[in-house]
Amino acid sequence: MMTRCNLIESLLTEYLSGELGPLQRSIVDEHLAECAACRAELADAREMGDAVASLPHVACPDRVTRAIESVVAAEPSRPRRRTVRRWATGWRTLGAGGVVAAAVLLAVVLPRNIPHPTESPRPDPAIHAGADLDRARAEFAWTIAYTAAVIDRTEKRTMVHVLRRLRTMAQDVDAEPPTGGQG
Amino acid sequence: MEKAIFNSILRNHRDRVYRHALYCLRDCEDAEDVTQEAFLRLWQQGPDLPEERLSAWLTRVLHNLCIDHIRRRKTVQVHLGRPDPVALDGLVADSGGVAPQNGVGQDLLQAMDALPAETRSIMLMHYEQGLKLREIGELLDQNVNSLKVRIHRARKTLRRVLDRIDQPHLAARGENG
Repeated sequence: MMTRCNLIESLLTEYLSGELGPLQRSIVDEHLAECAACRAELADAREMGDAVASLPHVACPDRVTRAIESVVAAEPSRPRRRTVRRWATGWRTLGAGGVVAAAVLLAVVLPRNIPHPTESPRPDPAIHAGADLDRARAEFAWTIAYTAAVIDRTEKRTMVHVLRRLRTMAQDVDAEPPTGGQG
Repeated sequence: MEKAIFNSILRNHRDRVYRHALYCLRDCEDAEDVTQEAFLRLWQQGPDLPEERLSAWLTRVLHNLCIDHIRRRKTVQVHLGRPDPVALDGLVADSGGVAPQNGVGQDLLQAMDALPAETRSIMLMHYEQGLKLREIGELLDQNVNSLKVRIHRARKTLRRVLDRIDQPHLAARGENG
């Protein structure tokens, strides 16, 4: 069973933030006037609240504001909700994995299999009309900016970790003696 | 959402959002990541509402992002080890502010690490941002009574941990004996 002190104690948070109605407030006041233990409890609650409230004012770094503004500025208006949700969930889910896969492709596969740029065929102007190309470029730029902004530190750490492992593996492969070594 | 409205919210609420993330996560880079993510979600998914209600929407998103971040960080820590928490002086100096001279803030942040992620965020909403219990209840879709209990227990935990920080010899004696 809840004692009177327990009941009063449960009301102290609202008492301090001024959320109690007049009747409840007068009940608490009356009890506090005659109970030293609850007065001590109130003083402690007030002290804790004041301590949290007096944590120093810290301003948001300008670089954070600039990063947000750069993503927003890359769009003429807010994109359609459906598209954004698909992108957002996709990048959040695949985030690190997708970028790592791209990095692996760039670092390992492409240099060995793709011909030199001077030998590759140029895009057909009839297919890549100017407007389409500009739109594709804009979307690509926005996607890169958005990805860079939403990937958080944990995912970046994961990426760095995976890339280091890949580099080590690549070094091991390069250092491996030719076949027919002593066994 | 119009860019002008978004920019207004960004200017008016960025410090509050960053501060909440910083004191909740206690890591500058994590706080920057979460701040960016919260505002980008507002831009991408924010409903068409007046600025006051968008502020509440933003606070709820921020609260959820902080909790997700702490949970994910715990998983990473299992594999990569726990990073050193950033000192309050460093946090404040980084933003050009002035650190308190009595050291209470530093101890308090250390003590707040002992609270569950959600409770820490609620404590900051109530005491640091000055939100009423009723407002927090509406934001998080939680009963006011359960919030009261949670805050009451959190205060007790903070007091216990702060006492232990103030009197380490007593804590050590308690552990040894």
